[in-house]
Amino acid sequence: MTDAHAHGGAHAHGHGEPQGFIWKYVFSVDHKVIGIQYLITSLLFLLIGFTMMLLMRWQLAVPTPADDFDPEKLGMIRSLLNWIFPESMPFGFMDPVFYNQLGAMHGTIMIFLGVVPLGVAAFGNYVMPLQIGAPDMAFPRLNMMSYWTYLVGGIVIMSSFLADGGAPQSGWTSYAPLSVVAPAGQTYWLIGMVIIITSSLFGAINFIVTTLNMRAKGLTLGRMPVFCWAQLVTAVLLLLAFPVLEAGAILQLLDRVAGTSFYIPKDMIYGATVFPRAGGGSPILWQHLFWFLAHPEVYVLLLPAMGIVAEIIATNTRKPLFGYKELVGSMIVIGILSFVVWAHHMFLSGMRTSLANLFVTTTMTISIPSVAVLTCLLLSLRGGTIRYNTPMLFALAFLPMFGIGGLTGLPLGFAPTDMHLHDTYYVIGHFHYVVAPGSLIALLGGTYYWYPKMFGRKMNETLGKVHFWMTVIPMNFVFFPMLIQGMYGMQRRLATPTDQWHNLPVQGWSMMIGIAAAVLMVGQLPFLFNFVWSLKNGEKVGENPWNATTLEWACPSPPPHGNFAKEPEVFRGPYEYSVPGHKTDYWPQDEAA
Amino acid sequence: MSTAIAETNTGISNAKLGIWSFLASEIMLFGGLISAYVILRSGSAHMVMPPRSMMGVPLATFNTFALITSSVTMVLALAAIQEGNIEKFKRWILCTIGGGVIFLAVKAYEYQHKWHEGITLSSNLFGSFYYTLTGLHVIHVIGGLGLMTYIFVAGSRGRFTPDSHDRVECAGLYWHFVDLVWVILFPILYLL
Amino acid sequence: MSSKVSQGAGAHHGPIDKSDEVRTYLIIFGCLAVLTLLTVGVAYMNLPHAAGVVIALVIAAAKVFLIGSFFMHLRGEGRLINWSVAVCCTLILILILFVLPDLGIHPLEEAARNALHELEAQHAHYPATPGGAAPAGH
Repeated sequence: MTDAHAHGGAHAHGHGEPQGFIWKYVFSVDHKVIGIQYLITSLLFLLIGFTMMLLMRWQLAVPTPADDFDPEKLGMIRSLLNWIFPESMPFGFMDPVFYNQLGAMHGTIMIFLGVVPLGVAAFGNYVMPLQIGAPDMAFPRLNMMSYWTYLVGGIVIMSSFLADGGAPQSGWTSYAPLSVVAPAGQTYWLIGMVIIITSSLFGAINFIVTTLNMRAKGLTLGRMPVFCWAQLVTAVLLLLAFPVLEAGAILQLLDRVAGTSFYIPKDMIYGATVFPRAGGGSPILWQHLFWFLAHPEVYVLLLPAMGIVAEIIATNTRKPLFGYKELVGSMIVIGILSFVVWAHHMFLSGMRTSLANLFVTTTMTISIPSVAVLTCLLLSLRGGTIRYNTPMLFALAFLPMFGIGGLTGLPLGFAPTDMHLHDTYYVIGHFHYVVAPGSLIALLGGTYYWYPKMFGRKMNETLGKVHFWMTVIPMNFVFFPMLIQGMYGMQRRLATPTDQWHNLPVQGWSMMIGIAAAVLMVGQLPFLFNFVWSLKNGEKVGENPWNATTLEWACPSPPPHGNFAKEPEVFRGPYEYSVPGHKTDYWPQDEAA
Repeated sequence: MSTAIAETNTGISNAKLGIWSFLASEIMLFGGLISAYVILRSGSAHMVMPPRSMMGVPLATFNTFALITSSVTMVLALAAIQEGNIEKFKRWILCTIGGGVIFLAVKAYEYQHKWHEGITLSSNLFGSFYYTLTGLHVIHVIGGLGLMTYIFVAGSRGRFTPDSHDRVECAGLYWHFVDLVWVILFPILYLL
Repeated sequence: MSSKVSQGAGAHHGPIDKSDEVRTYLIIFGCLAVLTLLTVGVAYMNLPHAAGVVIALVIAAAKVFLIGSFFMHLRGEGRLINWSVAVCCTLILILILFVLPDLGIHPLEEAARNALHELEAQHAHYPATPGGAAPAGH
């Protein structure tokens, strides 16, 4: 716990004595190195999670063999899958247990190992200290521990595939009592989650203290970029909500390994016999404890993305953001309200209707600040001189995509309509719209936007635009049909939906989704190539390639240890673009009057 | 290495703001477990409370005193370092550690006694909550003792002065929090 | 909050006399001891359950307040830290109070209450209204 100016890590190693490779890159305490570590690791996990989903979409496109199926004449892909997964995918048809494992792991990996580390830890770590003019985070060593704990947690969770009985298979939501009686992989999930939660808590503490305490002279909270506000609210959500899941996970772990009955009702029947436990617990208790975190968690997925979109839009419209105060205020209100909406995930759990009504009210209310944020961002475009570079394309796409995602959430938050839609593909369509064409699109935009700062070179624009179109369009073909399938009543988490008669009319959409998902994966190749290629071959840039106003553009690209040669002083707000009378169309925050 | 007083935007040192953030998460952790206990205690027909004679209230009351006393000695140690009196500081820190050790010893006795009497982790819901809640608390006490040992050693080496003793204050905040959790656990587990 | 503020009461001032504060700490210790004995004593009085719970929680809250205000120096801290603590406590209260209506009602108690309502409803409409059976209650 170093004090603000006693950062032995950041400064001491910058002066003179050369650092060994291990201390400089592997166990670095520099927020920029840690940010890049998180960036690479989270992108890898996103790729892993996506691959799992491709396997699942393959299964869903053709769930069972056709009447004329000939096991001797397998197609190319089917025989490949049969060769790689002889037990789990015989003849390329997925075993339902494997399907459930992939489903649970896809959700867990994408959320906890992919999007949150990317949005919060990668971009937050890299950009936030720069944007507030700080030399590093408040607790650099804690920051380093946060990354390594995350990696260990991720490895624990991935290693569950090797457990007896395979990976967790009770959904990323791990509902009791199924999760209590599930095979050993679920224990890996619980332990892995405790480790990941610890990593998040370390990070949250760091973000809060750094943002509140280490801003440069003149950088009042009212002059702080929207991105930093988003990260601050996100950090508070993580700090306060995750421990409740940790408490719930501890109880589930004890239920699994110590014979307790926190979530086991009395005389539960399991496999034709009474489950030999004292009983008396409640499965619904798990749901409450889980969703108390998991709802704020979705705002953890969303808020950093909104912050990134705000930054990109301001820079590429050459005008101040519309409604800075309203944007920040709405984000804070979203954060507060996110703690009182959790049971809208539980409308069909049998909970008391008066309680359900309470949560309907709070859920409908939280849509208001969300719309306010979207409106401010949209109105920020009005009258702007829009530069259509790759980051801006992604930021612009976020707006309608998040709009669709948000609107599709309304029938889910309203209990009477949720009766029909709960646990259907409609839910999957809704939340993927907000997270994939929503948050992830924004995070990709952020990658293009801040890559020049991180690596001193721009990513290739042509490849970027190819990546953009090959991401946004296929995503819509993947997720929109799910809304339709859900309204037809197609349930989630079914390896063979065609077993249910009412799903047959919408089975055709699954084929289209599968093809679109494959195209989406192919569309990521230009990005992967671009990322690596531009490290050495991208157009070199100076401090401020985008001609932006915020402080991260007031230091070299990439910044050295300690970031700024001397502590910057801030004289104005973060979005002083096109100020009348000023010689350039941007007025950096730290430029003297 | 000096722990220079930081100039921070809020006026609160990084360390103190950091420890309070950590304590906020701890409130939510213990709060989550305590909530689960309260909910099942009021809602489950099968949460059977052991008779008070089995709970050993007098011993637990003594234990509560031990922990509260160690909290007082902690704050007296802080006052001592603010006065610049290292010897007094060392004495009070040792008393704090002593109080913590007594607490752990009594808990060890309580655990094996109750287990022997039939209140085990899996015997029924009360047992499960009792060992989980107090067990997590015990883990925090052990961590606190480690922290106090570091404070004692560092203080003996002249690390803390009246102008620079942030870490003593932060360790104190943690220790008081551990005491505070027990102040809540004691009535809800033993007395109600 | 734009300018940086030097932190720490007594920063750069050297050793200070703490005897007043020490006296306060000892008084608070006395209060805590008394409250502990009080809560144990009340427990042995075997009051009706609801009253017992309320008193125990009030005493616990008082002890928490004393430790927090005086030992943890919350009294001297500004709004940021005090409000943060208040927010956490509020969140836990929300968790408990929102979930209790769902899970916290003893099922036997609820069945008994429903049965009582039904009996009352039946008796209120006796003799039966023409053309219909007794209303179904809840």
